[in-house]
Order: sequence, then C-alpha cells, then structure tokens
Amino acid sequence: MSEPRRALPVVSVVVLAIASGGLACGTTPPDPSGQPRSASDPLDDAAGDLVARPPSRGKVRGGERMRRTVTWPEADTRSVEAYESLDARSREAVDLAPVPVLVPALAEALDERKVMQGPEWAAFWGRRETAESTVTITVNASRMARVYPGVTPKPGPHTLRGKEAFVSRNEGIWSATWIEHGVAYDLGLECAPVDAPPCDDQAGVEALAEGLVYVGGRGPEPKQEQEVER
Amino acid sequence: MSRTSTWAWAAVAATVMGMGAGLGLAPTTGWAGEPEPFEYMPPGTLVAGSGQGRVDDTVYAPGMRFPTEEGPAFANSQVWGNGGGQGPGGGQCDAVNYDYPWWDNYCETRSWDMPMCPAGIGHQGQDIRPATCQNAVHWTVAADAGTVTNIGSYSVYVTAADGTRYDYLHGANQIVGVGQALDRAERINRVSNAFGGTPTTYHLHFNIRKDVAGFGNVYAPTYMSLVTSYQELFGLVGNGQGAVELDSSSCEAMIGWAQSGDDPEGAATVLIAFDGEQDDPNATVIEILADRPRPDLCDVLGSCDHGFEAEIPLRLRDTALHEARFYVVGQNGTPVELDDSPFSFMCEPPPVPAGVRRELESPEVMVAWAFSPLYQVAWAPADVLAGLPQGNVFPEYPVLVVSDGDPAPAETKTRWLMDPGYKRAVASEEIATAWGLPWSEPETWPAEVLDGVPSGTPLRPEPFLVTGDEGVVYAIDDEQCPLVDGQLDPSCEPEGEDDTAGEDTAGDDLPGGTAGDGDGTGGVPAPGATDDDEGCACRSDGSRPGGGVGWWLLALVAAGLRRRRA
Repeated sequence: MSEPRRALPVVSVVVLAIASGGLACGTTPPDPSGQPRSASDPLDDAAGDLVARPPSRGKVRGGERMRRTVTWPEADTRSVEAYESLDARSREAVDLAPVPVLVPALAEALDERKVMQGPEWAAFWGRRETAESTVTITVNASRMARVYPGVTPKPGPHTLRGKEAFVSRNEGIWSATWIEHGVAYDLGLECAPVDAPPCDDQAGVEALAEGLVYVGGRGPEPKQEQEVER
Repeated sequence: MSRTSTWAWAAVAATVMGMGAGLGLAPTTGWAGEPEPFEYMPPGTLVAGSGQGRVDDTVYAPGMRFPTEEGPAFANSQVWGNGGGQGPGGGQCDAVNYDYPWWDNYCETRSWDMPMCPAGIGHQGQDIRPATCQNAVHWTVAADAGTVTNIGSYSVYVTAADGTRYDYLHGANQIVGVGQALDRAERINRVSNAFGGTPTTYHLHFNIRKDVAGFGNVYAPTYMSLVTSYQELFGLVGNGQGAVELDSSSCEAMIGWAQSGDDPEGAATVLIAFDGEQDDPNATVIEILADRPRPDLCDVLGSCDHGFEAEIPLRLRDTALHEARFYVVGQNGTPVELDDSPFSFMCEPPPVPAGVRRELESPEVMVAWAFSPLYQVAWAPADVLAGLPQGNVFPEYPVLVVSDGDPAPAETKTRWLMDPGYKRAVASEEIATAWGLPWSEPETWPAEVLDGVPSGTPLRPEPFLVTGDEGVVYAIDDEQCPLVDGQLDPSCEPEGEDDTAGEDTAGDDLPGGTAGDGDGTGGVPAPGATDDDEGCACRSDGSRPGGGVGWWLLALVAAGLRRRRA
C-alpha cells in the first residue's frame, strides 16, 4: 500500500549534463590535473574513503521554506464596517489575501488606509497627520516561514491578543510580533516626532494590537495549506 | 582580531570620488585616491563595549541586491563610531567612518526584544554609511523585486513575493509610493539623516524582516547578506576550482571536489543550488564543506582533503526532475561554479511505512523537534497519504522524562516521550538520537504523575515525515488505544505489544532501560498492513483517539515545564 505511484514514469536517477547539452552518464569527468581518468586511477580507490562517511547534509541559505497552516477566523468575527471603509483596490486585496487580514479599528481615525497582498503575505498601511504629529501604522502577515536549523524557538515574553508576543522598538519605531490564526503577524507604529503619542509609551502599540480587527481574506484552501516548498 | 579581506577589489572607489563638493566633509584617506581592498570583520564581532553580537555566517537573504545603488559603502556602528553618542569623539564624517573594514552592528546594545540576539535584546539591523558623508546624494535601491508596503516619516518597507521585508530607514526624497511594485535594484530614496524631526547621522539603517519559524516575523541578521551582495555588486569573483563527478553521483549522493584559492589547504565551502543559480532567491541553496580525504587529489592540488559527498535531500526525491548547480566559495568574491555543474536528478521517494498520519501543525513544531523540511520530509502521492488513517496531531514539542520512582541508575532509567494522553517508551539511546531527544538530559517527573499517564506504544526507531503536493506535513506513527476517562480502553490490545498497553503500571516498576517489549520494532506495523490492523485491534472506524483527563493533566504539566524552560 505504501508504494508511491505517479503517472510519470520514474527513473531511479537520471543524470543530465545540461551544460554540455548531452547525457552525462558514462562520460568521464575531468581530472583536476586535466588528464583523463583511467580505470586504474587512484580516484577509484578513493571511493572507499568516501563511503566511510555518510553523505553530508548542508546548511540551507535563507532557511528551509515551510508554509504555515492558516486557521481562518469565523465569518461572523469579520468587521464589515472596517472592510467597507477601505477603497476598492484595498478591498480587492483583502479578498485575494492568502492570510486573514487584520487592520486597526475605525476608532484609530486614520486619514489613509491601504491593504496590499502577495502570494504569501498581506500588509496594511495607514497614516494620520495632525498639526502635532504624523502617525504611521503597518500590519504585516506572513504564511511562509523559514526553518533555520540551530535556531532555538523562544516564547515571546509579552502577551498580545492572547498570544505570546515580542515587543521591540527599532530606531524609534514600535514593533509587536505574534502568531495568530497560524499566521505570523507584526504591527509597526511610527511617529514623528518620535516620542509623540501614541509612541510615547509601550502601551500605545499594545493597545493598537489589541484593537486590530479581522476584515477578511480569501478563505480556506483545503489543498494549499502548510506547503513545504518543492 | 581576525579580518576577512577581499583582495580582488575592482576599481570601485575611483568611480565614486568624482564628486568633490558636497555638504559633508569628504574622507581624506583610504579610498579617496586608491582602490582599497574590501575588508570586513567577522559576523558577530561588534565594536568593543557595544554589546554581544550574533556569530552567524548564515546568508538570510541569498540573492539580495546590495541596498545602495553604488559603492563604496561602509557598514559600521553609528552610535559607537566617531561622532556617535557612545563613540570615541570626533565627527560623523571622520575618515575612519568611511573606511574598511566593515563592522557588524546587529544586536548592538539596545533595550528592546530581539529574540535572535544572544542577549534577547539589541539593535535590529545594520547601519550603512554611503560612499561619502553627504546628505541626500546616494540612492537606495530595492534589494529584491517587491511591493512598497510602507512609507513612514523616516522609513520605507519593500516586501518581496515570499514575504521577506526589507526596511530602509532615515532616507529622504522618496520617489516611490505605497502599493507600488518595484523591480530589483529600482531606486527608492536617498540616504539621509531623517529621524522623525531630530536628525541622526547620514546613514541607511537596513533591516531584513523574515518569518522565522519559532519566532514569527522578526528582524533577521543582515550582515552576511550585505557582504555577499556587496561582493556581487562589484563583481568580486572568488578564487577557487573544483568539479562535480557526475558518474559517481547518484540518488544517494552528489560527489565531487573543490579547493579555495584563498585557503588552498583548508576545507572549501561548496554551495549547491537546487533549481536555480546560487543567487536566485527562489532557489534552495545549501552549504557543505569539501573536507573529505581524497588521496588522488594530493599531488594535483598540493593537499588532500578536498572531496565532498552531499546527500540528495529527501524532499527532492519526489519523482520530479531537479537540477543542482555547484559552486566553490572564496572569501573574496562571488562563488565560482564547478566544472561539470549542473547535475540533474530524478529520484523516487522511499516507501511510506504503515501507520496513522499525525499532522505537524506549524513550522514551530518542526523547529521544536529540530526536524528539517528539506532532509527529513519525504514526498508521497496524494492517494498514498489518503490511504493512511489520520491520527491526533503530533506533539507541539518533545518532552523526554524519567520517573523519580524508577529505581534504576540515572543512565538506565526508562525514558518516556510524553505524547498528549500517553507516555511512550524510548527503547534506546539510538532511538532517542534519531528523534533528536536529549537522552542524557531527561526531565524528572514525579512517579505519582507519570504513573497516572497511560502507556502508548513504544516510540518508533526513527521518525518518518511525509508531505504531498497539497503540503501538509505528517509524521507516520502508531495508532494508540483510545482513552476512556483518561485511561486506556480496557478492551484495546495494540498489536505487537505484550507488556504495557492496557495496564497503567508503567514507570517505577519497569526495568530501567528496557522499556516496552524490547523487540526494538517500536510497534511498526508490517508492510502491507491495512487500516484495520494498524496498531489497535479494537478499533476499525479510523476515528481519532480520544482525549480525556490524562491528556489535560499532561498538557497542564507540560505547559508548566515549558514556561520554566523559557
């Protein structure tokens, strides 16, 4: 029952020398000396040394991709009011988003609100300008994680939206990070002047995170979740 | 203190130094007249007294374009450099700030959460001074094709297709808008000193924000991605040679040799890029060492230890055609492709053992168990996966315990893997190693707690993880007897088990080190087993094992232990 089956005929291994445009099996690889190898070449003897150690596993640059399993919120938790406050292009982005889109509540009274999306992510951007300050808010959501061997997971020391969270401040820009609905979210809060409210206290970014509302997304895809990229 | 140098520096500085007049004071030494070799301090080496860096040579954004349009550029600390608040004095335009070597300043002392920093707090990115100490002259450019997802008062974010976000801080004169699509290397703004009203030094603060399993969206180390992209920008080609030995390679391993020109007797680093060039962000690129003894190379190369033999990743044994390109990495430039690269392969996956499939619910589970998606997850056709009954979800993280009531010496106490609802014997250190369990460092649980947890089947000799084209990752495991009020269903007798299942006497009365029936099979059903005869003889409906009091008890205890470890 366990034999993998596929319509494509499978060859145990096909070695193709794409660079040379021909089959490489049976060709003689160049010797470092530039001389062709013969059957009595010491290279053949070296095979014994190589067999003595199992083949090496490499360290993956950029991390090993693994798609997150999205747990979509119940439809009745969606804020229709916040969704309808977006422009048509942003509403379209919400509808196409591969992850649940969270945005600041309308009470934040932002002058501009935009939602964007990509194959593995969604992003909100909003801005409010007053005579005293400019406040910029970002929310990013990702479903494509990278696994790095040797990176030891740590639980965030804060709690936001009932989840373990990290809260950081990068060059004056507040940032909160947590995992919700199976998706990695981060919230950014930037003010000019840097310490203008609500950036004058950590409570500002925490309150903003707690107030985020779900406005939608493209919904469950039973056959597209948590993919380990091929 | 060691430095890494680039001796093959191309004529970079001369192209930059044409601008004499400027708002800033031009550096007077180093690069002004003569091309200067690119040097960088090792990753994690911070300016003395500025904190503890992360020693990590991982390129977190392979294929990234260097984020300024032209060079040279100088990565170093603003705060601890000349003219900085913690620096030795002087001014920001001092020549020493505009000279090599580069210095890492990721994790430099700050007070905010940074989970990837050794101290748990620190600086989130890398500070980069542009070619000259001038305001709003030097362009920043997109590190990858993507979408502008933020323009703040002093920040611009560009998000690539895979969700990686590149942050550009302190710039001026943005020529992009929110929502705009950018090509790789497209102009964004000019390096400046914007900081929400109070100016900083002229520099680009550059972050790479990635979704890192185990943390979520965090600021990743930037330094080596900048080093490699800088070398790429200036066409600094590395120095090395090697070859892929195609007729020796197979579905088991890819074989060849490589030698670095910078360190001819040392082990060369080899990059293997699957399904793309080494600088293609969509390629899977691995690093291995060419360090295997090869007597045949001694005379030719002057030293012997230059062979490599790389495992074909299990995940790529999926019946599809894959291409692997091989490169040798010199210290001083971009990797050099080996002779006879690429190697193409099409390999069959291993057969899927019988059992139930248990979902690994998130990348965090993968990380907690230290499983590799590339090397430990097999591919299987959908019909094979569909033919396996679904079990309960795989444990969120491993907990290996011994009982304080086990009279055996510490090294031979029975080890148990705590699996929600059950405890499962780990029969040997070899099995623990195969699963990545800390055999020599088990947690000690009170006998009264452990004895109350029903015994499941012994842990299998090694993990088998599998995914299909749809992508959900499963561990193939034994089906466990269902629980009734937190205890094993008395009518259930798992096949292949004769001592623990059905009783609740495991723990302090088991002989140390001989958990289970000792047959070493871990209860793996025979090949060809059907759904009805896998693991539990009393069940035939394929439904998931139940929960119960034991599960909740264990969950509470495990959660407490996890918190303590954190």
